[in-house]
Amino acid sequence: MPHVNLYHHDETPSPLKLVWKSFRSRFLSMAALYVLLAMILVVLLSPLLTPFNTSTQFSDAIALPPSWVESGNMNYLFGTDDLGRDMLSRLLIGGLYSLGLPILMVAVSSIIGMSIGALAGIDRTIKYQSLSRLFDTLLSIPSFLMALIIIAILGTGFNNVAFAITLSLIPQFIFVTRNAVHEEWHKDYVTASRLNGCSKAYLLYRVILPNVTPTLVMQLTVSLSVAIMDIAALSFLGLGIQAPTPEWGSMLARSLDEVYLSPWSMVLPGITLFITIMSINIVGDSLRRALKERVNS
Amino acid sequence: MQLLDIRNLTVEMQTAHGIVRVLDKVNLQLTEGEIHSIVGESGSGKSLLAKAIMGFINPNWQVTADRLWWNGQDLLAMTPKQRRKITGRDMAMIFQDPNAYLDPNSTVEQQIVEAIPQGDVRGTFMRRRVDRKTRVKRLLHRVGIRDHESIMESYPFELSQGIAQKVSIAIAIAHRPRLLIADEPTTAMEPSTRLQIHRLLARLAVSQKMSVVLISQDVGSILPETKRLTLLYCGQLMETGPAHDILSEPAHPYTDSMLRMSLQTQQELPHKARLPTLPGSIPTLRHMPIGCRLGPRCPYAQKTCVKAPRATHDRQRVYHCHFPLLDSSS
Amino acid sequence: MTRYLLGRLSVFIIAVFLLTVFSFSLNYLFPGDPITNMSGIRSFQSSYPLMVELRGGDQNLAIQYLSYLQHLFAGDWGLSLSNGTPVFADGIQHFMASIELILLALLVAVFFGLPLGVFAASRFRQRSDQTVISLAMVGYSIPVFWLAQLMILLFAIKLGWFPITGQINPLYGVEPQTGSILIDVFLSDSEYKAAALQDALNHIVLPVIILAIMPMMLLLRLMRNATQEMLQKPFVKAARARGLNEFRVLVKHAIPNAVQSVLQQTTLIFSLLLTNSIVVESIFNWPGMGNWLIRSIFERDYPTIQAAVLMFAFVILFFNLLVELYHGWRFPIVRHEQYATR
Repeated sequence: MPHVNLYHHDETPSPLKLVWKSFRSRFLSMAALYVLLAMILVVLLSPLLTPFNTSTQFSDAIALPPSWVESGNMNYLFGTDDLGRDMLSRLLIGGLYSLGLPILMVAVSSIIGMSIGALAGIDRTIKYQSLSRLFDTLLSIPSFLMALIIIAILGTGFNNVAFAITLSLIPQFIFVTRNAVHEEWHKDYVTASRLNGCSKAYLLYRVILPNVTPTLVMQLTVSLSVAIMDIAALSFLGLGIQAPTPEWGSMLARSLDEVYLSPWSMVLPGITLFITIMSINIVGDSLRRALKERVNS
Repeated sequence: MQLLDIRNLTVEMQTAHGIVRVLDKVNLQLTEGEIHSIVGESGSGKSLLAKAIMGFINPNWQVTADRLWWNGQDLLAMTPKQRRKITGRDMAMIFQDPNAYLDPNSTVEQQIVEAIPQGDVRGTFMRRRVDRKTRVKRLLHRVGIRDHESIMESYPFELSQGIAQKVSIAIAIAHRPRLLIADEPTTAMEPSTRLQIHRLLARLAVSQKMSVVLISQDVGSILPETKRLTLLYCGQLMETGPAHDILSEPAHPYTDSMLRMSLQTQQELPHKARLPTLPGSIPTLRHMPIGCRLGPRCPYAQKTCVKAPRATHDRQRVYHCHFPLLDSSS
Repeated sequence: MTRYLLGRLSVFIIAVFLLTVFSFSLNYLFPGDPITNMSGIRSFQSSYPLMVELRGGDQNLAIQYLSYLQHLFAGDWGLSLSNGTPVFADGIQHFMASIELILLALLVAVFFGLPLGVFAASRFRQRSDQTVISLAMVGYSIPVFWLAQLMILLFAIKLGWFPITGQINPLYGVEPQTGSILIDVFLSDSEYKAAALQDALNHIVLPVIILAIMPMMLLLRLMRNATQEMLQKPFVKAARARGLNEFRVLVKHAIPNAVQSVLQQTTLIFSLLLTNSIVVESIFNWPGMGNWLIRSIFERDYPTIQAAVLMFAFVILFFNLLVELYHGWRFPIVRHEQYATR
């Protein structure tokens, strides 16, 4: 028997689905999401994709322009830098440090920060208001400054930088999670569940979590763009990922000296960084927008 | 002449499932200085009717009418700017949640001053300031606020609902409008506050020669001074006419059931008897019945009810029903 | 208001106290000898034993902390490990140079960001709104160092309009007194004051613009969203129903309320501004706190690092205090929400 839809059935999508639906309906947000996913995929596969070793210096191809320029060479798709290293390979591997590493750092810090934040959000034993005020005030110290302090203590180096940025991201997660959980906690539906005798763990995971997920995901995007900016800025200043390792920020830093000779060595890493950050920002912004639409409807 | 004359006002809303008529050929006539109550359950389109008169309906919705006249002028033919000018000059509206309709970041005084027409105050700068202040005080007194000094300096979030509603009435009458639309002004209030606000509205209607359209959810909470009464159900006009006639002798089954449901107008009900309500529930926007929209719930409904009933004019009152309770020959 | 003021001040004071505890503990966290990190006197120098005595190095931590506080408030922040100059005096100049840059950038950001945000909101979802908001997204996403490079390439190298390093051409012989170059030019007894001023302005334009762009775009987006949200509030509808024209509704009702909600996000703007100022100062070799901090990290000049961190944190806390006080003073509803007082 064919399926006949006699009665029109109204489906009521879950809040998460609603957000996703409104997110999906915008071309720009989907485009940004696809760009971001493609970037991540390319970065993950970068060791397989790179045509050359990043530190091999081709003495016959120094400062070669990208292949679409007349004097370019198809062997070096994006050209080479002043030492004759292949730009494409360096950009790809650089992505591991500029995009891959921040993702990892955000993952670690979000797990730590969100768990602490969630606990702080439901804990009512301490004198909440004054302490949270104080905490907010201390949180106004930017994460970049905190990362700088940690680097000053530990010294530069790959591990220290990764640790410093991870650590400096945690407070934001604590803050956002705690506020979101705290705000939901006082809503009537949570009170109702509490009166029903739900345990705290159940309340947190089943009642509150679905309602704060979009906010947390939004914070993830914000932190990711901050982490990318921070690590690139640190490397640019010479305090982050050190020289021979390709990183978009450090590639930019050395490009200023050679900008007359090879402008592409400045333009390419910059554009890559820019597109990455912009797509993350657009995804975050669309999420915020979708969230607002859900609340308004 | 009619102050407000509405004929066959229809508002259509574009939804994801096609066009829905949220107001279906509604008529309303209003003369100067009368109190007119519009009664209907939620979703009956009563607030929408008020918004259509004031002219702030979502611009994506379709508003059509055979006639939407204000004081002999066609409101629908005007440009938005002209219309806003007329609305601003002649009409005012108060709402159910007064605190939300006051700007949280300016004082009561600032907000009332803003509503006083520029032409009312003359003279030098200082003169105007003093003049404005006395006007604000007078307005506050008029709405029954004695403690004007502290209220004037207050911010809306510091006011109780009743006071806030009085303040919004003061703002509404500051430019001496000819029509005041009160959209469920007392729904969430305590009985004593409700009584105060109702008395105030009735008094203002007389003393200011101002027409008042009072929108409420049930027949029991309309003003005793109400001259005319209109009942709406799901965007359709059920019955309209002099309040006294309708209340004493309802012609439409819906009016009848509203009267019986209302606890205030309730006669004796036997012990443990069920409250006489209509079966079923208000249909959603998506599932509007055809014909008379009351049809599926009406105890007197018959086959013919799938066609929309024509208007029956009986002396001063009008009702839309195939099977009126009133014997029209009498 | 009094209660609000006192509450805010006490939080500020506690925060500053915690800050000093933190900076004190930095002395122990940094590699090397704590007394050296505090005073900038190395252990082989002859004055070292005296320093240990003065700073309570042989006593317990509490006494050390107290003497640290004493030195801190007396303005004795130790000597720089790299060039032996007193850190505090150096710091003040760097501080002023940074503040000059940051305040000017903030001014530019507010001056353009707020009106553009309101403009976009009043044209909500129309073409002009979309254009402005997309541009803001682009501007907000450009990494500041890349933007600086592009601007230098275009304005300084290609067009040659602006110089790219420092505050002023040293040929003018303007002695740094306060650190803030514009004030210094006024204070100097140079014969070519007007020319020096022009040169200083020429130097400051590019860094200020680059520094201002990201906060401006952030502010624009925040303001646009807030104004747009306000325009849908019932009280705006009520104001429109009263027949007020759109401009008045915007100026009297939508904008003040939008500003109130944007002010809650100032922390975000400040931290963006400060983070970027570190990068911009390094690029333009601007003698500000950021540049100072980065250089001292390279040189492992611990007293200087400590001073720079302390100053940065203090600036942020102080700015935030000012904004919060203004917020509470101008918008009583803020005080109401937090303390339920007037």
